[in-house]
Amino acid sequence: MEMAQILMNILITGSLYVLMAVGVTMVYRILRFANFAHAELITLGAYVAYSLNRAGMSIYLTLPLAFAASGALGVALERGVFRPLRERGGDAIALMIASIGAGMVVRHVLQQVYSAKVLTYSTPLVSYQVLGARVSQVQVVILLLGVASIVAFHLLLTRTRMGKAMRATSDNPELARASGIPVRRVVLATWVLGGGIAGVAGVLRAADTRLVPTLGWEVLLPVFAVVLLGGIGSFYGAVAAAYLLAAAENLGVLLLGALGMSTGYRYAISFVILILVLLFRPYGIAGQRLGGERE
Amino acid sequence: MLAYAVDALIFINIYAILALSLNLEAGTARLMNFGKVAFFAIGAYTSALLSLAGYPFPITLAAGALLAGVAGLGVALPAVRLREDYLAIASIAFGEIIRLILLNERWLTNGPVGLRGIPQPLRDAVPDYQLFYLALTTVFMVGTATVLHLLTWSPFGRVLRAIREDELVAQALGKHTFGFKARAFALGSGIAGLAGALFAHYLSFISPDMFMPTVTFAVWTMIVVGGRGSVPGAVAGAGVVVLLERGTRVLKDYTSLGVEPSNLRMVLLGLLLILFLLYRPQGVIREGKYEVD
Amino acid sequence: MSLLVTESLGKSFGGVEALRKVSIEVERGRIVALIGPNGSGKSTLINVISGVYPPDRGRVLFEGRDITGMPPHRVAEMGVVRTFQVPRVFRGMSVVENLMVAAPGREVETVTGSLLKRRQVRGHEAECLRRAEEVMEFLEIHHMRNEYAGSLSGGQQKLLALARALMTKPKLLMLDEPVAGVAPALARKIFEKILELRSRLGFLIIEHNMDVLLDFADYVYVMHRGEIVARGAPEEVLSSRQVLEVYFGE
Ligand SMILES: Nc1ncnc2c1ncn2[C@@H]1O[C@H](COP(=O)(O)OP(=O)(O)O)[C@@H](O)[C@H]1O
Ligand SMILES: [Mg+2]
Repeated sequence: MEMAQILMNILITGSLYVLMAVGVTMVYRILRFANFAHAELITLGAYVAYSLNRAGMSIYLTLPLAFAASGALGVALERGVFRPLRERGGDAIALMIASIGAGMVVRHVLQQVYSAKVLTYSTPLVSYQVLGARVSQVQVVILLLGVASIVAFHLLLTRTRMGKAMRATSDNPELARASGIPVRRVVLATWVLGGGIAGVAGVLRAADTRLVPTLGWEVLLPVFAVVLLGGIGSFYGAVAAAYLLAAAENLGVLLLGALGMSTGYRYAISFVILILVLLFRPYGIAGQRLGGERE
Repeated sequence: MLAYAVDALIFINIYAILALSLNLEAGTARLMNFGKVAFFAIGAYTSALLSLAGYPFPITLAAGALLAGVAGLGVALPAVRLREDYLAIASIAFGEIIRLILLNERWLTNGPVGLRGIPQPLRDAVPDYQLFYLALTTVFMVGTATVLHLLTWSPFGRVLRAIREDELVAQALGKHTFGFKARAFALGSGIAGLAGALFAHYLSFISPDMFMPTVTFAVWTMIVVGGRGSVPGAVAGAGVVVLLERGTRVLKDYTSLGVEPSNLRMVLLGLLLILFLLYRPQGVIREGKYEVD
Repeated sequence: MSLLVTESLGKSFGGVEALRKVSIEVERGRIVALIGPNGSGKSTLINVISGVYPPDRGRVLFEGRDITGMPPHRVAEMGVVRTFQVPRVFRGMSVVENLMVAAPGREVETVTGSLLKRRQVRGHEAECLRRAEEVMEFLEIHHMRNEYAGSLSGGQQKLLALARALMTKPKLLMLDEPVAGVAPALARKIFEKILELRSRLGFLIIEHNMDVLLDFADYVYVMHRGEIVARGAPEEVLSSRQVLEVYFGE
């Protein structure tokens, strides 16, 4: 494959990872648990877009609605499952197990409604040549939205009151609460934003590949790899890690070929990276060590 | 009808062994193993392959458990030091890597097609094979439960509970917690391997798509429903989950409810997990308490 | 020979120098107190001695042997046992089980040992239980033996933590604020118990209450910003200007 094409693929995969990782990293930092139901926030958006697309709406116009649907699901899970569980003294592990349960429920409701069949959107089959690489229209949108969301998030976190409250809350939730930041609203905003962007990412990934009920589940572990490599709670770390992991996957496939190994192992690349990060650098490339328990 | 019930009981036995093993790790020692299915798979494939190569059942069964236990030790040595949520994520990833190996190393595992014609012990020697296999799995299930009950309430199990409650304090009292966790993880993995071997020989056919992460989640549901830390709870939880699965199939066969049983089952499992965590975190059979007069 | 000697211990957390050239000594049969305002490094000193953190500089000697940087379980096995400032009991276990688990039991606490050496295990359990009963009666928590430790009050949990530490057969006990949050009458009772134990072991105790110190401590170290700023007999140290300054004004 052309170098230019490889580079382009890295940028596309990486941009999707950015969109998918934002919600996980923020929830992980603020609420202190690994949210496995994030996979279904991705998937729900993609199915909502499918219904709208079938009804004649352009796939690009469905994006705001997919955002709304997945954001709403995020809020519903927070209100219906995670907040009650926290209030009853559930620890990080209880929350994580509950998120797995919630994910199972949503995934199989979707599978019941839409069947497990492989579905595709009707998208314009236009593609462009960019610096020697072939890019489809959907992929152009992925790249643009990837960049736009990075800029938008940067502005949100640095320029708006809500963004600053989010940063303060993720730096130190107890301190934020003590200093009068409306933590509950920050948490809900986190679910709306993180979930909504995941829904958008789901539509884009489904448009770029195909739509199945396991759409989100298939990328969940790579997304965790991005979040942990970037340092839990670090947005900029996640951005860097997203493109790093995308590069590792795209170049790793070439390496597999060179080593004579099955390309079926391409999924294993991110799993191996995930395990290595956990073993050797669990606080990531950018994140600092979370203040460990005293004593 | 009877055959159907016996089949369900055999599955309850096999899953109960699996749930008992997870209960030792996660319920008693708080080792968040979310890669349970990997050790189940290693036991199943080891015993099946050796059996296909002509080795007798007792040897293949022991080899399946042993190899799974060794794999468990291999995972435990680096991994049990991890923070609990990191161990959970790392072990899921490990489980998926094992599944990819089963899919891709065709020379050994026959890839996605799986292994067929796995020999069944004493197949032609007993009149009612299902009843025989029920007896066999019952022996192993009761044996496992007995051993784990003894272990749970022995000095070893007591240290595991202390580690679950507060690992640093256990260390400050002189317990080498790393060694305890590694041994619990290895033992749990070996027992999962035993369950895998019993599973493979019963079905006589295995393939990688039988070893998805959903198996792990089902086993987690068993111990959450049964009561984390509770040996009888693990068995009860296995009963509940397997019967639930059978129930959804019956529903499909005898009613015109347009719901796919596999979907209904997963939705119910997910709801069970959430509802128990919320409203009955100690499960149906709460872990026993050590008391003296 | 001193039971415990620390030589010039240093420990920093990021920019915070929690310990600076800390040298102390504890002898057998002595109750040595460690006082100082919040954040002066007292708990950190116990953490470093007990192996929770390795020191950046300096050495820890126990019975003349260098134990610097040893992991906590090895330090505890040697007989250096500590409690924590916030009582950390095994909440989901009964009081009596909290005590029994603390008894040394290397030979029987293995998978095969627990399963196969049944007779040895039974002997061990009977002996453990006998000692646990003894300790519980001594500290007057016997009536709570079958309660979940998590259901005890804060003061009772402090007692349980002390009882559990005693079960390890320690040579040196380091108690981090053993009576903080305990009713005054009970606090004095705990110190009277400690006094009864003194003949057999050494104590390093973090404690703020001046009356208690005057009545029970043999020697006092005063810490301030990571350093030992005063030392000596309680009557002298506690009346010195320096100590009053450390506590009440800069
Ligand atoms: N694990 C830790 N990480 C960072 N700073 C710590 C840690 N433990 C203690 N400190 C800091 O070291 C200093 C001494 O703390 P500590 O030993 O707990 O004081 P004391 O017990 O005398 O109140 C404090 O400034 C505290 O914030
Ligand atoms: Mg302190």
